[in-house]
Amino acid sequence: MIEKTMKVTAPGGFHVRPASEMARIAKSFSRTKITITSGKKTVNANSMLGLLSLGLKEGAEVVITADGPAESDAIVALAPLFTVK
Amino acid sequence: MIRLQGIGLPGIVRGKAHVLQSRSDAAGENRQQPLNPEEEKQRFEEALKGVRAPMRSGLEASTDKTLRELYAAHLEMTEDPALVEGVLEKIDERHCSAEDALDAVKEELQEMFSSIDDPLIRSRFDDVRDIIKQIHDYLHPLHRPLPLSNLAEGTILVADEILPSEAMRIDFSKVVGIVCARGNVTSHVCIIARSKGIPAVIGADITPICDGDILEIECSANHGPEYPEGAVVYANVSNAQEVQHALDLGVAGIGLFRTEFLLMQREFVPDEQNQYNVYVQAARLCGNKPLIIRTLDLGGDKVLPYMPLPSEENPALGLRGIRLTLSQPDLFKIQLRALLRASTEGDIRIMLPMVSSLDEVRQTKEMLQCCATDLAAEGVPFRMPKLGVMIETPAAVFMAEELARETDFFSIGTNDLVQYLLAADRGNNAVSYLYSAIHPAVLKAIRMVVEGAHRAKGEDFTIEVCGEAASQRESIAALWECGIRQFSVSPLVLES
Repeated sequence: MIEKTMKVTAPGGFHVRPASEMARIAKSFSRTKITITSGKKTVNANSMLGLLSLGLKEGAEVVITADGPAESDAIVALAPLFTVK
Repeated sequence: MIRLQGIGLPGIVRGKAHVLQSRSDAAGENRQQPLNPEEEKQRFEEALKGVRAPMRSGLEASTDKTLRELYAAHLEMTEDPALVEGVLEKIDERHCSAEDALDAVKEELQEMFSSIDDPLIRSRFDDVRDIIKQIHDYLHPLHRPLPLSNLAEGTILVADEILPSEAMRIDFSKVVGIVCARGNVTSHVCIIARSKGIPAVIGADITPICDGDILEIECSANHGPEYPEGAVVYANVSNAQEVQHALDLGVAGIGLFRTEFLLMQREFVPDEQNQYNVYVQAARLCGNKPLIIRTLDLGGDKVLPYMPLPSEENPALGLRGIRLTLSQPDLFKIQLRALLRASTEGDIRIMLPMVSSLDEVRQTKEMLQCCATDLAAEGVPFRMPKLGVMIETPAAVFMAEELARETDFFSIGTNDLVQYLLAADRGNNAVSYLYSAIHPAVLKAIRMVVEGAHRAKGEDFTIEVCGEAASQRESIAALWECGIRQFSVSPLVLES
């Protein structure tokens, strides 16, 4: 299992489009469990609804956790979505 | 043993009753007593499939960017684990109904989104609520299909009512007869049963029948109709096999090709190419004989499992036929384009159901023109076919002269016309005695239609009758007196 802590730097926060993309990518890692934690809330990265419910604003701190055969690939694929403009 | 009088090929059929639970019972039971978790999960999956299908075809059919994005976003949400896994888990944990699980998930999502103030994200939550509502509608007992799998050999199906979409799912290799409390000889289950050569009893009192009872259905010998010299006989069909069968029986053409069955046999709306293939196949079989294809006639008692329509208090007077297709131009255009293209292969004529105003004809003509312009621009070959309307509303009767000026032919759908003129539902046992295709009011109306059309376009204007009245001895003579020369009937009528 690996973890990566990072800040949301996308202006306006983590929005519908990146959330939808993240869910789609996370689904493709079908054997790796990927979660996003913000504050006390943890959601599955494969659910756009879950991701949106975190209400991530610009500057928020998130922890990406991946556990499974493709865990490092998953982190590399997903992390940049928190920083896209 | 219980004996019943049926309609169908002459003879006696014996079988074991399989009583299907009525939908209203199922509704009550559903609230208090869920089925087992596996069945509830299956219901939910079916409902999901059902709400996805129109989204998918919408996505394929629409060219508008905003619409496409909306369809895509909605589709994505129907696959979201928070919704899908959420409901499946709830059913497993609580052994509750799919509806209750859906409500629980909706509450959870509401809770999850309660602190979000971003309007864009909130609007996504509104989308989810919309989708949840669609799934709920789909789970509604009206849309809940009767369990028709695992039927034993020699079954006689007994039901309060069998919907057209369910009739399509019946395994006729196992079923030897059908008994319904509601419906009439023109109900789709009857039409299908007849085309399969299976006897049906409609309007039966099914209360004394229990599961497993031995039933006997007797159909008396039916002397086929006789047509006067000079009458032209066409056939009413629902697919290409029936076209072939009808032509083998020697009909002069296809007076009614129903297209709603194309959709009922599938899980989704067939695309343009699919529809085109079906129409071309039928057109080639017909050669130079006319093939009158009726545009989608849904609504009323005809609903699609994957296209839930809002429930209406009075479906007979609701969004059906041409009204429904004009309200869904994306769907309608697929069919019109397929028809325009297929018209190069034979004498295809387009017929519009449930017309009650001139505007409906004009709007359809505009859409046809628009599709033709597109096809021309795309370099796809097509031909503008003749356009006709069904006369089945009193409004169409009074407007016959004006409608004839706008169109190339009429087809009088007596089944609906009689019920609208006499304000009597033949499926309702309490008032069915009022229903008569040779009621003086009906014959007066038909005469009016004939005279109106002749005034507008002369005596060569084609007017056929495609209802049940076209195949019954007593009404044929009366229709002939009114000036009707074309009769379109079920091929089964012609077999006897």
